[in-house]
Amino acid sequence: MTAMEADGPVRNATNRRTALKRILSRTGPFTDEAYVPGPEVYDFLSTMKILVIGAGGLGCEILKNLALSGFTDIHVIDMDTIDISNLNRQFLFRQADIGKSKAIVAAEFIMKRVKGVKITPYFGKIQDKDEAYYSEFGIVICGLDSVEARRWINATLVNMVDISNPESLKPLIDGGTEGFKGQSRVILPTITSCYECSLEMLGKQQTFPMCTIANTPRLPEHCIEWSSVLEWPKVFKEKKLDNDNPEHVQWLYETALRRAREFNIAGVTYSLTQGVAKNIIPAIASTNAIIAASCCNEALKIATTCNPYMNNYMMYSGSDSIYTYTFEYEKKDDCPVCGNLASDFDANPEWTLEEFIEKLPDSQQVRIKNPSLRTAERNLYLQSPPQLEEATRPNLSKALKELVSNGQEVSITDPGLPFSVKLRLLY
Amino acid sequence: MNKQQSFGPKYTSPAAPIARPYLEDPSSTVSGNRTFESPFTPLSRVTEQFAAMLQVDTEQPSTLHVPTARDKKYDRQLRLWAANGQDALEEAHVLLLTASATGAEILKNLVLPGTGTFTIADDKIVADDDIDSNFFLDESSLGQPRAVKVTELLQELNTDSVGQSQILNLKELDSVDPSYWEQFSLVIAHQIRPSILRKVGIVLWDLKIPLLVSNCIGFYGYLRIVIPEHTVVESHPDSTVDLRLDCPWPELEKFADAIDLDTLDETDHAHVPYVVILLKYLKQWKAEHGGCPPSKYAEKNQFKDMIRSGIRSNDPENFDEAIAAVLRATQETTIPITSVLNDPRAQNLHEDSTNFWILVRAAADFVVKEGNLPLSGTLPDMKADSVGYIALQNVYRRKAVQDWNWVKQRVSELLSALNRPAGAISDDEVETFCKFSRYIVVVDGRSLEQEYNPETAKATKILSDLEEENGLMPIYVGFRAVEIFEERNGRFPGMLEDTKDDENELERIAVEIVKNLGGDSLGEATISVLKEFVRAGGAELHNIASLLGGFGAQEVVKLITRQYVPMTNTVVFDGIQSKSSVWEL
Repeated sequence: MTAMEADGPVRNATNRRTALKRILSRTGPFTDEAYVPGPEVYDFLSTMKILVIGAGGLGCEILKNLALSGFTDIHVIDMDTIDISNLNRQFLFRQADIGKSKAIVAAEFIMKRVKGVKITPYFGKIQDKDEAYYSEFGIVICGLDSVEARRWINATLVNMVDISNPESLKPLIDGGTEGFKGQSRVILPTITSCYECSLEMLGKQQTFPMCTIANTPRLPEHCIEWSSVLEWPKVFKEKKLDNDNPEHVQWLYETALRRAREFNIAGVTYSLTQGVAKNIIPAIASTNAIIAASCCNEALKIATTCNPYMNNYMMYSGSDSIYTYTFEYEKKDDCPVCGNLASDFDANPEWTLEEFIEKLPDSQQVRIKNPSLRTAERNLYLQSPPQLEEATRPNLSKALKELVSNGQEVSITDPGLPFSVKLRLLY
Repeated sequence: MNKQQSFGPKYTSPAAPIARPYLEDPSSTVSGNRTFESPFTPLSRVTEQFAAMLQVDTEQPSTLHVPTARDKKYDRQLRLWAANGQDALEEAHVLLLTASATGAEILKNLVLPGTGTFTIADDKIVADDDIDSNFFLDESSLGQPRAVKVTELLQELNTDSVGQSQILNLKELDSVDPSYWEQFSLVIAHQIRPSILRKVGIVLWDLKIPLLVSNCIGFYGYLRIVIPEHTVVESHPDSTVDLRLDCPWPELEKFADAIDLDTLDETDHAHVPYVVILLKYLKQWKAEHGGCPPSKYAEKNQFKDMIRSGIRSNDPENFDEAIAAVLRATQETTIPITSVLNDPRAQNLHEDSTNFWILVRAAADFVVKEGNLPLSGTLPDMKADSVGYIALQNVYRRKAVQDWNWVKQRVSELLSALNRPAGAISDDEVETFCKFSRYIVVVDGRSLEQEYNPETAKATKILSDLEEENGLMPIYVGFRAVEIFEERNGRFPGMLEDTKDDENELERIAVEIVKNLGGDSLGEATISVLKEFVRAGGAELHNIASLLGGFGAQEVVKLITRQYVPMTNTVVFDGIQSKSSVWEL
């Protein structure tokens, strides 16, 4: 280990982490009977490759926690760069780091602070990496704010499981926060429920009906949506709205304010404009600390088996007292990723295929933005390639009953998701 | 009047807002001759009258609205506790006793959001174990004063925060001059020996300075908030909607009466706000049922059917909303804070009374006069057209402002009776209080003395919870036992190679604790937990320290900002079961 050579004479791999090593060298009252305490446990932990996805609010905490929990071979992926609004919680970043890669800055900071730990950053997307890459890790921890990325890595890890090879099963630990609320969970792909099994746990995204925005605004939010969704494209045609550009946000704000004044609606502020246009979710250091710590605590227990790990979901809420609820989220037979059954979907046979497709992004069980649809017999509608899109486009105006019979399965895919959602249409 | 013309036919609603019944002035016989005092005034006029009250910005937006650097940096938290919460945080001075990993993590989560000043007091020299668990130490810190090094590295997190360190013997804190504590807004005490902690606790209790006690061993974590009284106005309930459908005031009733559902065309009918629909059908129901609202389950279903029978269009969203709100609408508007209103601290104001209790008294007097708390004035979004919705919103808003004005008047009378200046409680403060009055929170804390003295301890609760399957009370008893063990032995249990003696001694101590509380022996669950404590050998595992850092900082933010509801008063985290429990001990 080259990292050791840089150390002074005082501290080295032998006298580091003596307290942790002591715990691992003892059997506790709650450890599994098969647990064999001793230095091998620590060695296993310190050589295990662990992957952290996300170097933001949760990611900074996760990297710190792992580095101080005996993990020494840590990898981190993040495609984002540092923004000023990150600094109230993403404690590995400073003013001077704004604009730089989160993964790279975070890795450098931790390695400078905690000796003997190697962190390998990747500044890019998780989709850039293949199964061979993911199969190198013992555990994957996610600290993401994107549902799409979670669905992707979850499906990828489930697909990687080969029953004849226990090594192919990679525990996935997932954390998420929103304001004073959060959750942490342990996913053993194909064994426990997976991320997709619990998709319906996600709160329904707040969307405003287009007719309200266009015709009957009542809330300041309606005026802001009008300004960003309807007015911007009308006024600026081809110029794309950039919610990070202060001039664009200022324009949205002024336009929304005029609209609000016209309808005597109070409450349009710059801050609200920014919040609605960028769909900003409040985030604080404390909630991130709690959720990341819970995730890393589970990682330590899974890597060492020194105590039982969580089965399998902890919800947290801190706005009224301190509240946690830990329970087993059950696996679903009709989960499109880890189950094998199609799920039922109540449909109206008179709907056109297009009307059916319009319902998919907001459907709790589907949430697919750019769906392509097939039955076992035929392609119903394909987004790409262009020739097939054109060939299947006429189906959009056909009634559902002409294309799919009652009880028939429809398979729905999205270019961003490595699996298909199977729906059994019931009329 | 027809404002929709200005934005072109593309967005024009088929329902042009002309000739809506509820915009007509029923007192006016000549069409177009409207009086402006009526709630049925055309909106443009209503807005002129209430523009200031609604805080509609009548100035053109300018570059002044561009957020400051502070707004940008703290944007994600300002959305939770706003500028007033941030101001409180920036004015605060927090003291940490013991620069442990847990203590540093709590401070980390307070320095990042911009806590004004923090001081770390500690007497230790940095050792290997400290560096292993504390992120705010590095290899170069070895052998240096721990308070100084941790302060240095925490300070790096945020230039807005000022850090200070002090070398202070934590085993002699009881001999510190009591005036020392007065400079702090809040004190965090990590792993201070119980004999010392209790003495410090008494001093801080008398000074009304909040104390947060923490401990962290192995997979277990503990926090205790000690504060004599904590009051919260901005408790941030999920909603402050208070519709008063069971007891509409005359203006609201008049507003609903002015709408004749039968004469509306289909589009207008589909845009009647559900609040109006409920008010109309409730009135009809009461007329048919001797003045009684639907109360039993079956009656409520009948009432729903009654509303359903009024659906005309194929777009009955507003009626659906009304039906969905029936349960809430038929609930009596209550006063959920009666015990607070009757509290002697409100009823017998004196020269030391805080603003909070003066406001409670004013609200109590309002309730005596009106039979209800001041209205929040909040109207949820609902299917309606803009004009109708805003008109209804203004009815709620006007009543709220009326109520608030009465409370403001009462507050100034109370202030004058207490010989305080008229502006001692600002109008903003009164308005905020009124808006949240149904949800205000008063926490009457328990002191460490009450907890540690078997006479006043929550003995029954502790003993019964010890028997609960997979419960966490054994961990609480374990922490109490470990404290005593450390004070007696000068080290934590399990630090020596052989653990058997420590296990036995820790068990004996735990039995003492349980017997003092009136119990007799330890259950299997408690014995197992004690063994796990010994196994840890006093180690502060970073994950648990970091989790407590989150819990602790969150509670400190709540106490300092006086927003959200703090935990009362003890929380234990079990990193093995991944569970937490909160008790008032």
